[in-house]
Amino acid sequence: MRNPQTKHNPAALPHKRLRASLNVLSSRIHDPVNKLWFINRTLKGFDEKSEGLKRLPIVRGIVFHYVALESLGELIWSSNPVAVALPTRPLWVLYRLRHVLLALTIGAISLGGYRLGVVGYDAAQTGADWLFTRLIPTPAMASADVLESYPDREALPPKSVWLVSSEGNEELWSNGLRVDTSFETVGEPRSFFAFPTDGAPPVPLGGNPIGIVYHASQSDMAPLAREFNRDILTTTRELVGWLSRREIYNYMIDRFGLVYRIVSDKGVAVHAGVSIWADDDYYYLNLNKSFIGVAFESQWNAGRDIITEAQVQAALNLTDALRARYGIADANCVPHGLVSVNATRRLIGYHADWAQSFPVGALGLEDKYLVPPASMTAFGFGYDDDLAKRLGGALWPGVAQAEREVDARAKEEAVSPEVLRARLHRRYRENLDLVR
Amino acid sequence: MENVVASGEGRIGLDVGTSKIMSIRQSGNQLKATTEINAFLPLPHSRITENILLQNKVHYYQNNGHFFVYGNNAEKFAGLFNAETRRPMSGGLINPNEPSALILIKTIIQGLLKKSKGKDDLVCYSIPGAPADAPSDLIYHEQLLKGYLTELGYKSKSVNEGQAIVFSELEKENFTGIGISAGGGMCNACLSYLSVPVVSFATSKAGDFIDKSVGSVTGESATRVKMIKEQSLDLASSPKDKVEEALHIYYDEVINTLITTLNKAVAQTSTETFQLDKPIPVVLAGGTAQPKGFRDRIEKALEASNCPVPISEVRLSPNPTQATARGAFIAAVYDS
Repeated sequence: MRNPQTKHNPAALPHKRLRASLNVLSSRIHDPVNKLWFINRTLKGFDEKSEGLKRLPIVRGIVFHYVALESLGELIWSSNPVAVALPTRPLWVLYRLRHVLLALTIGAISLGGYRLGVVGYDAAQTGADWLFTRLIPTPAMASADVLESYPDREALPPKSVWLVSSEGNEELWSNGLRVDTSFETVGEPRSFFAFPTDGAPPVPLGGNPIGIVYHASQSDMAPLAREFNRDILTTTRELVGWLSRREIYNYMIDRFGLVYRIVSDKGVAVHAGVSIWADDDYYYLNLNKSFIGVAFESQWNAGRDIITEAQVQAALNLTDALRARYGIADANCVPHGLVSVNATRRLIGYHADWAQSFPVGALGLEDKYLVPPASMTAFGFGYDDDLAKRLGGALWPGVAQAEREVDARAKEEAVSPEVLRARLHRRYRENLDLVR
Repeated sequence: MENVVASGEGRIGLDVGTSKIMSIRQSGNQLKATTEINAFLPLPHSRITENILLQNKVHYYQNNGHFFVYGNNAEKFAGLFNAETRRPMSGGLINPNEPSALILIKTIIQGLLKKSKGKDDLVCYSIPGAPADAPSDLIYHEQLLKGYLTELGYKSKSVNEGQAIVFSELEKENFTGIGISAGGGMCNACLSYLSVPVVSFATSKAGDFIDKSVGSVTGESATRVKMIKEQSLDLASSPKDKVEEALHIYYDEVINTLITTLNKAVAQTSTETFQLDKPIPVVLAGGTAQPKGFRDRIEKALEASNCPVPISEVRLSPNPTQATARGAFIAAVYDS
């Protein structure tokens, strides 16, 4: 077999953020040849700029957007004008003033020092993007009713869910799920150990996720009211951009039920930290590498997470799609508060978001609050008064069940529960060494 | 394609494949595709044969006491004379063991393109990925085609076959993804980011390999195997007879070779110089990609292989046999 391979030099490709910006701009051009021309003209124009201009990230961003703006201008106002889905009037103004804007920004950087430079950079960097992001259609407003109780799902989950289309930065799935991929990053590939519950040696796994952890974003949010429309959208997009840059969560669901993919399904996102969960066959430690993180844009407050009806519906569709695609068991779809632990003090509930009132029934899932936490039964973790206080006085029923199980086992082995817990702590330490 | 058509006057996309040569050009407001089978049938010189050819208005080329029937008629007459066709190309390149290869390819291309009418007419023609073990073969192949096109009065430019698939099928993804052309002589692939080719490669296990291998283990002629493959093969269902069983086996071999090579090529590149921002699609085209179930097998093979780049979806081109020529046409119009 001939096994030829040609490696090209992708050096012409600019920095990741600038590539993302070019992607957004290109998506507005709906003709293959013109799109090809625009991309290549921008890449070539940027490549030809002096290396000195590209050394500083701030200047690099300005120069890149300047070149992109020039390319767009040529395309739109050429002798053979091209249809581009953009507001031509403001773009025309920006295009005509491009030299002035460039000079002002560079002047600001050189005269005003770093702070002014950053302001100039942000203005220039977002200048072209601003026009396009303004025009990206806002998702249809779902019901903004805030839910305090969630009716259980009545219908059975679909047998299969498949990707219907993937156009631009939006995916449409067969169950109605829409995913915005404009902030998506790849993430490190998944690779983790699963610890068999029967005590057999740990098994190295990787590739697909095996579970889902549900989070609350705990982020600042504008009030959910008509007069704050602009702030609501801005805050959300800023949040998603921030999460994307730090690769936090695989998905985030905003209050209108729009689902953003932040890190690819097969990529590791930061979300569960030090954590423990188990199904019938395996224990899983530190779930970032093995579980997908799904965050609701919401604030955990005094033991109660408040989310909207649209978020619940979107979470249901997303859960169905992920479970169908990766064969994720119901047992491994779990709220964050039930898996998060403090490894130093051997306490459960280090993060308590969704440690109560997560709408498991509405998502068609079994009640995870009844499951004794593996952190307690397998690794001897306990809890303190502070957790109960944070949850409004009562812990979930699985905790009491876990305590009963540990006591019964200690009796069986004729040791005190403290001695048994010390043994289980040792087991945790040994297993933890493998996942670090 | 409205804008492409509007600006595509005097531009031609040419897919020079081992089994077929296809041109795409503008015709009014539409794109018009014309295909000739890239094969010929040598027939011994006789009065009867000549009469049959003349009566059927078949174009042929006469040399060394033989009639050479070429293009679409070659297969038709192969059936009639119970003979096997021969190929001017092999493994994606000009067949060095075929004495009549050069003149026949030239003749077929001439028949498809005709003489250029304008001095700026441009043909963008497809070439396979560079064979690492014999790079000079590709240079020879590329320059030879360029020479023929120049003789016909065209300016010309080559485009990698995998890249042509990207141009044709990944416009919505801003030309980011993996284009795979599974043809007769070769499978060509190209990973492209924002239209910039990052890595491209070719494997020589493709449609002809399947036909030949299945023919040799089942005792059927390669031509008949090809016919079964193109007309009734369903890779999604269990094989019904020994030919289908062999076809399933050799299709898997082609897929495994392709995916292994893809993973190896991408792994080497992505870690060194390139990092993707998000999962990318894979799009399949070419005659060998047509049987039902081929896409599913590729998808499963990719999933099982832990591909170093995350894949968002695997899809089949809506028009698998025209994708390369269409991509070459887009490249030709873009180059204007």
